[in-house]
Amino acid sequence: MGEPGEITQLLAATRAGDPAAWDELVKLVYGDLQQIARKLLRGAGRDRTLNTGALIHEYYLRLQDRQSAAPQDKNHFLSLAARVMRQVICDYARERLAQKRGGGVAAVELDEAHAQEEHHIEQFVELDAALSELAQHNERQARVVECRFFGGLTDAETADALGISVRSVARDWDAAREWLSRDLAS
Amino acid sequence: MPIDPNFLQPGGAFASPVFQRAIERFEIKECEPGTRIGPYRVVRPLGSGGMGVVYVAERADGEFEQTVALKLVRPDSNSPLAQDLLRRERQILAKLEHPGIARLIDGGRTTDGAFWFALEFVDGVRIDEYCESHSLSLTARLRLFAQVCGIVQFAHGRLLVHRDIKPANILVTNEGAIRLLDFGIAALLTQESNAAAVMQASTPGYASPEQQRGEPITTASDIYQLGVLLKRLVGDAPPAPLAAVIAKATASSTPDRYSTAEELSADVMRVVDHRPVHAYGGGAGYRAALYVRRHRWALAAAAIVAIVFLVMVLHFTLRIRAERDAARAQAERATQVSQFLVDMFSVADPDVNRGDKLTATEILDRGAKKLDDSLASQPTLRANLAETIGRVYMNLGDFPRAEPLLKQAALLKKDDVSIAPTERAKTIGMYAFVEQKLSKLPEAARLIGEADAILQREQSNDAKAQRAALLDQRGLVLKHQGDLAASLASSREAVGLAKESGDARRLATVENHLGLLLYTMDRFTEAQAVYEDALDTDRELFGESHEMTIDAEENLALTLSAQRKFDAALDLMQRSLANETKLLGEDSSETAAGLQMLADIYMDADRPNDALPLYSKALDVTRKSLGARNGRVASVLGDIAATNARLKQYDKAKAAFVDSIAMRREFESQENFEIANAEMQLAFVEFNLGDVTSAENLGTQALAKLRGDLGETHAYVVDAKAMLGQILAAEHKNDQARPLLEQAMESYRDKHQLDADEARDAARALATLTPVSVSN
Repeated sequence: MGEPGEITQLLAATRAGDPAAWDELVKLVYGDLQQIARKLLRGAGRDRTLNTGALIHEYYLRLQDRQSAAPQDKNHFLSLAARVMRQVICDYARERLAQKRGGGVAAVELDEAHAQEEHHIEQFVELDAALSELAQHNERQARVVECRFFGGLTDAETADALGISVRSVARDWDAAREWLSRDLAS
Repeated sequence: MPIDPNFLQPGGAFASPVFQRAIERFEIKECEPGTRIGPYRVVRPLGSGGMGVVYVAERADGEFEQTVALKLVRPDSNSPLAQDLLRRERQILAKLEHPGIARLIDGGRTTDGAFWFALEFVDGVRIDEYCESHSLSLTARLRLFAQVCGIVQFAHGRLLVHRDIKPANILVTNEGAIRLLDFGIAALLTQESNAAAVMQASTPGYASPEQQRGEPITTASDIYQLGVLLKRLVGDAPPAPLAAVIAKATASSTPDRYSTAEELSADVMRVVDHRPVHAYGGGAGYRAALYVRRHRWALAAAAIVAIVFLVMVLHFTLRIRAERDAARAQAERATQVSQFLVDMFSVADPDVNRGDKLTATEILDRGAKKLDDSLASQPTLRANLAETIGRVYMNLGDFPRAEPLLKQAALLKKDDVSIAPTERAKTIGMYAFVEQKLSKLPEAARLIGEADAILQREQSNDAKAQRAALLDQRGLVLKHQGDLAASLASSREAVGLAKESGDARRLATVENHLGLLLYTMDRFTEAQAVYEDALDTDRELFGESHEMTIDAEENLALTLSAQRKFDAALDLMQRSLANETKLLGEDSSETAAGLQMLADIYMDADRPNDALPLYSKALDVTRKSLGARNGRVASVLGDIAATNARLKQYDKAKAAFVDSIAMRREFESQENFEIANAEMQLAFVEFNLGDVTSAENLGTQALAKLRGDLGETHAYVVDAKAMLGQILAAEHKNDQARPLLEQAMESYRDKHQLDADEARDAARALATLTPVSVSN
């Protein structure tokens, strides 16, 4: 994990509007989340299901322990973790899709669960690209989708994290959902 | 392919199997003995490190006998793809034929995506353990070290950098020969010089400054690690020439280090032969390895430097003027101050810093560190600087860093009578604020008391306004500590002082805090008086159509309604709504919230017929301003449902409740007590429609959830007990109904609400049970 205080500092810097600090944070958190996921998976026993809520929450608790992070940083941090989650999942989906297209995977019998997984992989890759495009003309809507879809944050948490009102979150979420499905259909 | 709206749900990413797979990928699975990896079979685990797990493995295809160390690595996902990795690895294999280097034999990728590397298995002991267990002399240790340098030099000649030289990677065989492990693996995994991966791939304590900063790695990093290794091998108190060699090898800037491993080795051998060492003398001792941490946040560097500079110059000038006569003291201070400035800014000098770009924060950090040594005889200046730097951190929200600086400033200023009392109190107040933010509440309260004591002797209006702010802050601290009575006293005193000071803005703020405190304590009469006062202040200060005034009106209206002064509450709320509409227009969601609040008061006043059209209008405006489905719409729909229930329009009530609950579930991803409360009301509506069984089930669940979240005496819980009690009574489940109804009645009595409809219904239901209990 990063040095004590480092994440708190970087959070403060992102608040002060430093885009480089955000990139640094994503890198740091990505590595940390990997380590924690590994540990949790080891402890999770046979069925090894893990929900991100638990993952992110566990991470935040550790962060708080180590850095006495100010409570007002919590939702800001959660939005960060949501962004990292997007990267984790979409990187994976892209890789899987590349393998499939490159014929790298042997033909597997297609059952329903498998078909759903394949469908979702394509959806994640599409969504990632579409979100990047959305961010070009409406950064805030893209961030709202990250928080709500990838981070599982409530609308109140999202509002707090992004420093906007709850009703803006609801509006952005609706607008982004509509845009995301329409844009890709055309 | 379009994105499926069903896929794009709140929290939807976690619900997908893809998420599970992506997370599983982080895991390095433990391999049982016998597991096949590539052409190898795992024999036993050998160890695990930051990057992965190592096993002893054997050739499994029977082609020939070969024991290898098999390393399983989970690369960072930013690492290059397998093909690139393996191609590079083959290039490295071809280059590294040396008896001192454990060869990389083969490599590949497992089915679940991990990389594996088969390395020549070396039967040997770690170099540091070998030195200890054989009690080697200094000379023998240095000769071994020179061997290591020779091997590293060989690799460097082929432009290969090890990146992770440390005792665990250097083994000594039975024959006393050195073998280096893991050449090139760190390089393979980190060729994109990803900072996180480099940090992971190198070992704490052995990582060079440039590695720690995530910068491109060169052979100089290996020289640094060799220096650290040398230090480890020769112990804590090496002879002077050797200390100079270590200092030169581990110099923080790369050009100051030995340029090759050969040079380093040559100097070490000069020590062995008692010849003069090149590193000794000539300024090498100066390199105190001042390692300036690189912070990744760039601020408006020039601005902050300018602030610090201004404080210094101002202070300096004033001081000099004030102490014109003390020429000698002045000269001394001038020297100290200029030296401090030179030190502080010299880090920004590329010559000192080897081109590493510095941010203002680094300069601040360094300034903070230097305060103690440079300005020991200058307490006031030191205090001002500590405060300036501390305040910058505080405003950045970096409270842990602000804390020691503001503490220092506060301690230095506390008893310095040459500083104005308001200044001293301000510094202590800032420190208290930071402590409060760090949840150190007792300390915060103590500091506020200290600052207040300084100001109590002052009669100026400024001092009073400042005291008002301090006591207001103490009120908050005490409230967080749970001492409501003391919080109230402090808050009241703050209002008194704010009035005396004539600072109307301060008064408006502290009165709002006081009113809110009284309201939460159910002391409505007093809250009303405070809000009336606050409203006067706001109207005078901001005018009618201002959000501060509108907020105060709404607060006062709710306080009046809580006291059942409905006419006054409605009058005020209507007035406030008119102002709000004037300010924001008919179709604003804020206006909708105002309409909803007005309707709430009608409901409190038991006038559901008046409330319903207002709720309907609020629903229209909310939909128009925020869209058809969202949390706000769900809230208004819930109110419409409750109003219909009150009007005994149970069909309409049920439809609205169902709609509202579904919407809440969609927009509030967690189950919360508002949803449980709505379910309880829905259960009661079902009961009134005659569906008693469903009502009992739903009601029982909802009450359990409400109790868990809110305890026994919350209004929602009390009403829920009354409602479920009535349902159970109608089913003649008297034993279950009675305790619920009795508890509800007791709470209504405590809250003086025996006149409310809910209490009357509950009493009536309880009465139907009584004959049964008498006949028993």
